[in-house]
Amino acid sequence: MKLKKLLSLVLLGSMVVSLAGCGSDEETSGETPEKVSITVATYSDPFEVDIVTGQAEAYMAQNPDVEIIIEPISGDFWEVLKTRMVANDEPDVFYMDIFQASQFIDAGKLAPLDDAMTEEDIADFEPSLLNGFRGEDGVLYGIPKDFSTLALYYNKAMFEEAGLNPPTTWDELTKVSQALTKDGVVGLSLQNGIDRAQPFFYSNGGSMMKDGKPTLNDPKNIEAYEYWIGLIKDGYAQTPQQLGVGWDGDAFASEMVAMTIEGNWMVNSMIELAPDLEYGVVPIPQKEQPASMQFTVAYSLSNNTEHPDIAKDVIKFLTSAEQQQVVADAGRSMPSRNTALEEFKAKWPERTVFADLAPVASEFNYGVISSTVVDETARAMEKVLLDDSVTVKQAFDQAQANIDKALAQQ
Amino acid sequence: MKKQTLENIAGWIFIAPVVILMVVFIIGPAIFSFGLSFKDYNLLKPDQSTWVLFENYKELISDPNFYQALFNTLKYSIVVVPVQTFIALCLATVANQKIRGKTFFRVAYYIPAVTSAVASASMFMFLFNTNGIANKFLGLFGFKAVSWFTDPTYALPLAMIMAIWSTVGTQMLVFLAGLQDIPSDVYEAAAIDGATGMQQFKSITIPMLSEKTMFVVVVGMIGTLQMFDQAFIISGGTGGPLGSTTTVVLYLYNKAFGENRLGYGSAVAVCLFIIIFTLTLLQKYYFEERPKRLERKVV
Repeated sequence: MKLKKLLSLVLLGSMVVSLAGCGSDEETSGETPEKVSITVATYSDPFEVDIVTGQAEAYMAQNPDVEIIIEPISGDFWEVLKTRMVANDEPDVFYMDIFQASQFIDAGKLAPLDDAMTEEDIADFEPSLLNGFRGEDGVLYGIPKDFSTLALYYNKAMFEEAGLNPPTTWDELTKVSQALTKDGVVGLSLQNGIDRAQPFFYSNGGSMMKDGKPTLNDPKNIEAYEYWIGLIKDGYAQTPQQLGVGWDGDAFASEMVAMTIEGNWMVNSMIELAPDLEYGVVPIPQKEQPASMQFTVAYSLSNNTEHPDIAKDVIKFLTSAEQQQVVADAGRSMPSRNTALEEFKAKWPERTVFADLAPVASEFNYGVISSTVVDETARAMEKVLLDDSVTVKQAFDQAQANIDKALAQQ
Repeated sequence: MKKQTLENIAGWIFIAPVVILMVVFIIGPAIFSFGLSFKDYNLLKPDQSTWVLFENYKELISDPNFYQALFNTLKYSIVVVPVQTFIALCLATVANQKIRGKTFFRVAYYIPAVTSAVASASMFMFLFNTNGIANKFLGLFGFKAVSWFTDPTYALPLAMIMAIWSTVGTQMLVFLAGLQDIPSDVYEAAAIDGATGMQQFKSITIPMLSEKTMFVVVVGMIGTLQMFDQAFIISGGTGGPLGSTTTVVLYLYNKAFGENRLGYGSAVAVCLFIIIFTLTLLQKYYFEERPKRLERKVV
């Protein structure tokens, strides 16, 4: 009996204490102002999510009244973003690919970010990285968080065995590919799309955009693509699909090819796919001038956000010199600030070539109808590859007509 | 209140969850999309949309890419529906026999139906790449290795194979239920009259399954005409190689979400709806009227 009473007393006591605890909690939370939450939408890739989560925690440690909610969007990021914009339910801050940016800027969905950057900040970015995120009026709608460029990977053992040096010009590239195409190995793996072939266009003096309009059928582009497709038709180069693999990285890692043109992301893939393979990276062989291509991702701010100032501050933080360091350390994409890029080069010397290509890298951006341009170009290139009766000029002219039509409908 | 009215109210309350879900997620959007098809509606600029009445439809009937998509889809449907119905019926008959381990077979045939499209896609990529098992196996019979994913001749057949593999299980289940509904005394009577197994199958099993067949064919046809996943996976969303895997739904998806032309995409959707609706009515007529005609003949 006594024991029971004692027990119930103890229980009662503990309940009172915990109740009191609750009460005091409420009091303290009542004193502090309510937290502002900012949603940041990222790609669902765990590598990216980890980086941004770490950065968000750093921000929240400095700004206890702000809560950053990371929202990785799986599936088609752009479809999700567009439909949520229609419902006025988009995240405050989100990734913005250079390839997608124009249509969002054109539709007035993004908030200007000029006042988030000082002159000094602007000077720290490669101008070509910022250009893709500027509206026609020059207003900045995205602050680059990182970028990647394309270069030529080559298999050192194969080159040494054949006594060859990495090619620097188109003529050398033809010769080297021809010499290395033997014993079941193909000289070069080429992904047949604008996102790999474009450096050849620019190196030949061509371009994809003039006065804000896509110019696929520029004679210089046609000439460059004739060179590209010639390599494939002569058998010195093959597409990953022809080789029966998923992408260039698989072909290169399994030594089916001696060379390929890929971005800096492949360095990380190679560590997983073929850690012992010795390879080198050099700029893409050139015709008239050096050229590469850049893929940039920025942070953009929704025009619809409830807390524009705080969200802007979050973007400022995420793209600050200090946080760019985190990107540099992670080593997959390159930090967009020149100061951090120097650190990146020091830390990853073998990736310097990608960083050095930034000034000559053309944009993966074709205005408001970027996706139509990429699709039409892919279709034209596929047609030339699969149908020998179609010339590059015919295919490119047809694609250009479709692009012009789509542009007129915007 | 009358008893009848009370019962009606109770009935509506019972079906309310389904009705609400249908209205919110199916009927409502369908009506909304029908309205959009008469508009020039940019997904990113909804405030600038304008009524264009039949402009989208006019453009549609002169759009060669739409016809290619329609042609691909019909080709796909015409092959997939009979083949999957036939295979499903065969599997159901086998799984209905008194054989050892039939539960194992039933489960094995049904697993593809519950496998996620992405998982089965990666498996097919592995099986059907140029150096893959499928080509090696066909090589044993003297076939040349083909590039299933990049050759316009083989990309659509590959989509057909994927679709048949993944849907046959569900349809087998429908047939299996149908088979178990057929009373065994019919078979006994037939056996006494001296009917062989094949005759029994032809004169008892198939006629008595006709309702199930109708269901399988109609659902199969609707499903194949709305084909999207396989084409999206095989072509990476582009509908290639050379447009050979562009289906109507993939085409409308690319128009609506790639080019932001929601109005035009909706017009494509309405056309597809009309086609499916007409075909379903025709099939319903065929399956329901044919037995009646036959009966009349007998009388």
